[in-house]
Amino acid sequence: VYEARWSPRLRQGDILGEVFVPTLGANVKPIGEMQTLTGGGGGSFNNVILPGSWQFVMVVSHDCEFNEEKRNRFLVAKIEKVPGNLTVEQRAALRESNDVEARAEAELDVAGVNSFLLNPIDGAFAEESIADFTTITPLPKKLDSDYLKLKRAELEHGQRLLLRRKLAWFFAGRGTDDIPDDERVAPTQVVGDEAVPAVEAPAAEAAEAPEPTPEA
Amino acid sequence: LSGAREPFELPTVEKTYAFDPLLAGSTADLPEETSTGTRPASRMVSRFGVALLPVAAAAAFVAGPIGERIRFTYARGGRSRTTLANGVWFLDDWMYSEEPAAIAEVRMLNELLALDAPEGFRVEFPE
Repeated sequence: VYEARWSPRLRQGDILGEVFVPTLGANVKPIGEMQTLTGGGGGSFNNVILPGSWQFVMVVSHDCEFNEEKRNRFLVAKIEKVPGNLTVEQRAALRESNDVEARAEAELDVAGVNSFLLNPIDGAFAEESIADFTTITPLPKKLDSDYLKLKRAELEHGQRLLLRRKLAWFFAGRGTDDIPDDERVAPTQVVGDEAVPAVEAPAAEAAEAPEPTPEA
Repeated sequence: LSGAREPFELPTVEKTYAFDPLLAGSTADLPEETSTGTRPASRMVSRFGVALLPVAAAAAFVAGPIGERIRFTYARGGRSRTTLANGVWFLDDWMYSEEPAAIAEVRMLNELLALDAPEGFRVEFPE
């Protein structure tokens, strides 16, 4: 699964760690200014304190994103433990679902839709773990040489192709129908803390009316 | 606090519980985060798993009207964690799920990724 000899720079599927990863949740601590110490006059903030944690992560950005002066950031996904309460069958399905095409060919559901299963890595994590696509986070590319020092493993190219295909399937491969018009709502705008309709929804007849012909 | 707006407006009941890590399995490295209405897939197993079912049942019991949200705050080892429970589901950072994959779509995607489409292959974009 992992290469015995590494590429000289970061590549898609590389395992790094541990790195500090900030996490944006629903609750943040703002850093701002008050106009008075009595709480009057309101205030504002442009910065917040975010929680974070030291994590093993997997590089998600494509190899070519690491070309010189191409990007300011690269993307990583957090690596998390596989929950201990999965059945043997679920673990096997998770393992086999790294190959989306093989699962689909066998007419089996894809397990761990938003993840890629990773084998243990000596000196890093001792159990099978998953890279969670829904935790993808940007890191500063100007530090990529520092992050390279934290590289723990590099996927074999065949595994990298499977990862690339599962990422593509997760983000773009699942065909869906459009939302029917009768389920759509009017655009909204924020007034105070409320989201209210910004404009009246156009009537169905008006929406279907032909474009007016411009005057000559 | 204008920067922490909830995604939708429903009455919220806040409950605080002492959280027993021995019942819940490993929660190491869990960031403080709030999960909101992700649609459950066909099968889901939370990291907390069966150990949380009694709490989830309690959530359903005290939930009151449909759509009322319950916010549980766990205190564990000096850290706190808040998770929204919408009736039954406790949503954790990563949950086991399964989805079907259409082999035709998967093959088409892989052929596009490989950039070696077979002769005659073309992608049909909708109107």
